[in-house]
Amino acid sequence: MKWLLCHQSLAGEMLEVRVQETDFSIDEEWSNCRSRMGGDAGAIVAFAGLVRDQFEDRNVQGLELEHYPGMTELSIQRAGEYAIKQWALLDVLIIHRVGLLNPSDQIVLVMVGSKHRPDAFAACECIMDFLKTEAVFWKKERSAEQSRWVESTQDDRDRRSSWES
Amino acid sequence: MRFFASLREITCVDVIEVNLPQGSRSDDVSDALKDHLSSDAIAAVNADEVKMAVNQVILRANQNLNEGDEVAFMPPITGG
Repeated sequence: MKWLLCHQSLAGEMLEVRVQETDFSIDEEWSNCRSRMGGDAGAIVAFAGLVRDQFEDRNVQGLELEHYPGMTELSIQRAGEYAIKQWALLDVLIIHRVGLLNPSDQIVLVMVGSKHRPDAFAACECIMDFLKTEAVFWKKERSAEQSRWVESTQDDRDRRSSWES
Repeated sequence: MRFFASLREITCVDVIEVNLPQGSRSDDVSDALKDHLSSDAIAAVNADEVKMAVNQVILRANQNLNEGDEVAFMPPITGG
């Protein structure tokens, strides 16, 4: 199931946000990104996050991601818009999965295109740091011993704050 | 009213419709929940770290509620 597709053009750049249960194809998204940008593009930087099978000292059997349809997409969109204001970008795609995920599953994709690589590198990292602290998700970690709701870490909050200093 | 994540589990409620008197404000919601939730569940909902959102906007201060408003109780988000 897909909840919301936000397609918004900001000052010539394109920002697309998707929250979905289904997996995504990096190859397909890469090809689409190239097509959208045309010949002016010089760089694409992509980050894909995977579900790990270890957290601290626990064996993780899977994650359950809950979201607030509408509010979650908006919180992700704000991260993309912040990056678009900070750097010269041509294309921003953010896909985040929800529902039940298993170790090694793809959970998030941030793909950023620009004329020059420094903009795409910085924007991709910044968007991920924003997502880790501001995107409206609740993660429940399933392990053999117990299931527990995960809290954001101080390290994540510090990384997020570093972009505004 | 909507309850998310740990609050949904504690309250055993995903969505409920609550009737509030005309002129109610967001601070009045807690009282209205007494007819629907256990005292333990209400304590969890009223915890300091829980945020209330009205129509998907986090509340910063007490505000008027209108018919049809969607009130959500959100435990701290984990992020993506």
